[in-house]
Order: sequence, then C-alpha cells, then structure tokens
Amino acid sequence: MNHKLILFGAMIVTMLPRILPFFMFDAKKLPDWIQDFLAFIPFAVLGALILPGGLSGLTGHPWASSLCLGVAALIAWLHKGIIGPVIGAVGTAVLLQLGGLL
Amino acid sequence: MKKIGFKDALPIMAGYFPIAMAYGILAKSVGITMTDGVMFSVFLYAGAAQFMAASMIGAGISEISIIAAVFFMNFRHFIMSASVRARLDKTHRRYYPIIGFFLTDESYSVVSLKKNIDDPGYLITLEVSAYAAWVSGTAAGYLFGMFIPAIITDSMGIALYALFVALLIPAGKQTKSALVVALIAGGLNTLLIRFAGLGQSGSFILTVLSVAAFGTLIKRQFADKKEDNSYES
Repeated sequence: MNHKLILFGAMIVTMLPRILPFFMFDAKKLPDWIQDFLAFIPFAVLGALILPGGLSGLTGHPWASSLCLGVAALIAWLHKGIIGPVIGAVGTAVLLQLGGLL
Repeated sequence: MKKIGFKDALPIMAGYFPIAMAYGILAKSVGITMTDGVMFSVFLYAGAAQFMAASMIGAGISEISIIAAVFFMNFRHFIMSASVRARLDKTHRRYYPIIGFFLTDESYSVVSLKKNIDDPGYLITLEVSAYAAWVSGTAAGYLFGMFIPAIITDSMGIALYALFVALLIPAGKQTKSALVVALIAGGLNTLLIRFAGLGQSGSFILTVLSVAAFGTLIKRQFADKKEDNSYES
C-alpha cells in the first residue's frame, strides 16, 4: 500500500474539478436563464448537503441527529448568526450523551 | 474585507478543527504516518474524501480504487466552482487557481449566500483561515487525540450540518422559495441515495442540477405569465 501514490492521485482528481471551472467559460455576460439557474444552485446545494447526511451526523442516531439540527434551526430562526446554532446543536448532542440517551 | 473574511470563517474553523482532529485520530489508527496524514490535509483538503480514503486504506483497498472513489466524491465541487466563477470579475483571473483549490462545501456555503463576493482578499482570507484550522486540527488529532473524551468527538459530527442549517434558515426567512428549493433538494437527494444506487456524489450532482433546472423553469414560467398579464391590462 503506497500512501504517497494515493495522496498524489487523490490530490490531482480533487484539484481538477475545483479549479477547471474557473477557466472554462469566458466572463462575457451570461444569458438570463443561466444566471437564474446559477442563483438556485446555493440553496439546492445546502439542501442536498443537509439531507440525508445530517441524519447521520451522530452516527447511527438519526432521531437524535434530527433533534440537534432542529435545535440549530430554532436558534437560527430566532437569532441571526452561525456560531449560536452550531453550539446549540453540539451542546444538545453532548447533553444527550451525558444523559445516556445515545 | 479581509477582516470580514476571517470573521465569516470563524464558524467553519470551529467546526473544522475538531473534525480534523477526528480525521487525525482515524488516520493514525489505520497506520497512516503523521507526515502523510497531515499531507493529505495540506494537499487534498477535502474532509469527506479524506475520511473515506483513510477507511479504504484501513480496509486494504487498492490505490487506484481509492483514487477513483475520491474523484467521484469530489466531482461535486465542479458545480460549486462554476457557481463562484460566474460571480467574479475577469480581472481577478490570477487568483482563480487559489480560490478554486481552497473551495470546500463549507466555504462555498458561506460565500454563495453573500451578496457581493467579487473581492479576492475576502474570498482568500475566508478560505485560508478555514484551511489553517483543518490542517492544524489534523496535526492536533495525531498529537493529542488520545486525550479527547469520546463524548466530545462523537458530538462534533453534527457541527458542520448545524452550520449548513444555520446558513439556510436566515436565507429561507428572507426568500421562502429558497427554503422550498432546499427541501426539495434534500428530499430528492435522500431518495436517490436510498433507491437509485448512484452513490453519494452522483446523487448530489444529479439533485443539484435537476432542482436548479426545475426552479429555473418554474421561475421563467411565472415571469412569462406576468408579462402576459401586463400586456392584457
């Protein structure tokens, strides 16, 4: 097992999709429909990042994971800011474990 | 703007550091040396792919299979890079390779919801701050992993998902359609992963492209209708 070879190969196949798109189209004004399309991408990405991956945020505990993310969502709804929801979710996970519920 | 870049990176750093530690602990346990483990974080800088590669190394899977798996897992960044590129001015061309190399799910999520990102100073500060947390966290995992109680490392797994939720909710409060789009995407992605056998990355790409295309169609349909009405009145 050659770890350096894996590292090198994995680096190349990771860099290409990250960097190539920056050079694939010109900065000419994009048509309206492409701009609309690109405007939807962030929300579609967020949705697909949260589900279903978030349900296994606490491995093997989908309901506890949902509860933690629910706490995060509630805090995010009430207060702006990112740190609060993250602390809320992790804190809930710690409490669940301390309470022996996981 | 650099200051704001660092401030925006803080939640990502808070999530990255402990998760990178967990990665360091895993990599050490499957026999990857500390130098190699840290090099993975330095040159690959892709959390999910690094965890996957370490598990596959542990399972004794061949080099070429691991590289292929990493390729499929990270191809999703193609969409994110294209989306960021569309919002940058061409004069920043020389910074493109740097901005692209350091683009992750998390930095993209933060950046994509910003109104104006056409400032390489902001983008690079945000990205490199997150990167520093990831690389240093990996080394910390190798060095101090054994001192961290399992209860903490287990709980940290939820942190980055909470970050995504925290980014989505305020955007959804402002634009209800954003929330609907995200929910449809999450549902479709879940279905595709469960039933279509496309794997995580394939499902992700298909989901994002089709949901964005669907949203575009609906939006343009409504726009046309509105124009029609205005002609009538």
